[in-house]
Amino acid sequence: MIDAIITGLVVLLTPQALLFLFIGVIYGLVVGILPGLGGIVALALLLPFTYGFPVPPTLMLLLGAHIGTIWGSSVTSILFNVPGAAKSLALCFDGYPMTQQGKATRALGASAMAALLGGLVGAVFLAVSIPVVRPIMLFLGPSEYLMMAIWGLTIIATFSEGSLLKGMVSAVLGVLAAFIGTDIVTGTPRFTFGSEYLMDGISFAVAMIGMFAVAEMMKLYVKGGSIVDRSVTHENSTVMEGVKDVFRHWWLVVRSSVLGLWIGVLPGIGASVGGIAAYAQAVQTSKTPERFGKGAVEGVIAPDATLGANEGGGLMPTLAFGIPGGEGMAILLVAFISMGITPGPEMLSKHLDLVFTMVWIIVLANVLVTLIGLAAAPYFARLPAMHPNIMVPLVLSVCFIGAFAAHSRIEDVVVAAVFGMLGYLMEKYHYSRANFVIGMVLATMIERNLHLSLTLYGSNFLFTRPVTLAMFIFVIFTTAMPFVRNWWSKRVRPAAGGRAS
Amino acid sequence: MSRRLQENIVAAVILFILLGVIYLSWGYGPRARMVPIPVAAFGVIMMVIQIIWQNLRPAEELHVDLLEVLAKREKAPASMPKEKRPGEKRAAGRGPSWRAEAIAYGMVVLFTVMIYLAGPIPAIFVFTGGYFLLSRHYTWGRALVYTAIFTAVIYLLFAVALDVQLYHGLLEPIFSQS
Repeated sequence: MIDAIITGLVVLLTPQALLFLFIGVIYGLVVGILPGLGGIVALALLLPFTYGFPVPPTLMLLLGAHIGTIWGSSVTSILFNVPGAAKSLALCFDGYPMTQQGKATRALGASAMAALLGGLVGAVFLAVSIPVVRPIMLFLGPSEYLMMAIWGLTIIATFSEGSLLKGMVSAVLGVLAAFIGTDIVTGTPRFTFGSEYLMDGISFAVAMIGMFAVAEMMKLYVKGGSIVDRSVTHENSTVMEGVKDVFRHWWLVVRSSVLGLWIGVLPGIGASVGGIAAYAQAVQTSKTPERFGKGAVEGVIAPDATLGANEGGGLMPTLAFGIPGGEGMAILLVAFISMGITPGPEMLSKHLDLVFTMVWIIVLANVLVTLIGLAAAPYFARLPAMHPNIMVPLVLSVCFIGAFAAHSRIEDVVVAAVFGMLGYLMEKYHYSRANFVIGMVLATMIERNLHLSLTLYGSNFLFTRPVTLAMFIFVIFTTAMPFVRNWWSKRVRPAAGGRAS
Repeated sequence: MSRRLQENIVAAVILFILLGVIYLSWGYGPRARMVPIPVAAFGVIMMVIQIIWQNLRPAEELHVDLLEVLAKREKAPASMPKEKRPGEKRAAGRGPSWRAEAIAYGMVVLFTVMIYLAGPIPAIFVFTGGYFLLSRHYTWGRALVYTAIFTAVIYLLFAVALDVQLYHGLLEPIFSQS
């Protein structure tokens, strides 16, 4: 194994490979910052340029671009409340309030450093856990994935935007919006009203561009003034503060990274769930949860560490079984096959050096992204102070062309506009937009795994699968816990008050 | 229009949508409706409780922050200024809230229609230039130069670098014939 680790690194230390990594990372950062064009688009566009080059530099280019897009989309979440991709949604909750408080540089510093540490922890855990994780992965089935998705849906109760009832209604609407289109199980067109375009369903990327970016620009126009009014709120933070925050919350970084690695290892879950789950566990384990949603730096650190670690985890099922750990990994899988790399169990035995080459690329790409991120953070932090008369037309233009470019369909522009107006109304009347998107992301996973579980294990699958039952109990426990804690503290407080008097 | 009435209208629209989902779902097969009907029914129950809840409470208490419930966060006293929502805080000189909101909606609709008719690049040029001029942020000359540069950058990025096949608009046949 030591040989494989060293060989994996040596093949990368060539000028061509390092140049490809640099190009990939810069390209990934630029594409990541553009709303709607996430990692999938970035990788898909790179594929034609990878033919004819040796494997290590090509992997540097692809994985570098993939990792660059992740931090790129974090930047827009923090600065503009516009998630560049679904996975960066959780960064809006505290990153954007930090920007509004003049702490954008600190948030970006924390984001970049957390992503680096997450990536490193993820890579190390991946290297160590290769022999352990394989049997666990094979053991889990659709019913366990169903429980994980339901857990993801229940944790929305921890989000602060809006009231509990309205938050739940938002999640319900999000779930139902995801059902628009052809049912993946029965092939029935649902809620399409005869529209051919709606048969394919509504794209998450386009819905998010509308719900967050377009709605945010409408809000900015109505409100007047820039996102951050520098005459009122000066940029009062530094990159180093953000870096120190990450080391101060090192245990949160480790927890979030392991969570990200684990979610990455599970095929088909994707990083979108990871970011949300990381945020929820940061809130639930914090001694001061009331600070979340108002600019708590832990709300930035946890999702970014998870996203950083997720990439290492995602490689495991992609390489070992040919099952992509997420959407980005699906494109990488295509690239691997075109490079002559055949995924399968042999990858973890005979071609272990290649696996470690990829682990090293993740490490190097994360280091490079962080260095660029830390250097550029003070400049990025100036963007939200831009005058709305400049910001509104420019951002709206990029949003609409981004919505179009996602699938080259003009109808997507209309969908982005509709979701923009819907998002503005939801924000105005306190219906959580985040819950809507989370519902949308998890709906398909819940429905697909429910049908698979019923088919494979029968209608009593909850009681015939012990792991599923244990996970179900865990879901009930984590959902009820905050309410029980609240009820308990209310019971204890009057008793303590009574004794004091 | 009072805040309570607005909240009730929004809630009624959502309730109508959820009931519509249940009605439409009855027409699908048992498997296709297995998840949508229970989810929509749950939403209907939540919405009905919300409507009752918001009509029984004072208008200033219509917004309940979940973290106040879950995390024992102290509720801000009614006299304290709260962070305002869209439409509640505006810069001076934009007129009344409803007018600014109507313009914001109109702006999004107009831009979408322009893209549909002329394609993204001409629409971006006209919309951005028009916005710069109407907001009087720049002089004519500057607005034109900045708009041209921005449109060129967008074109180079999307059409050239990212190789996106751009839509040419419904009006293209008219221009290509002439």
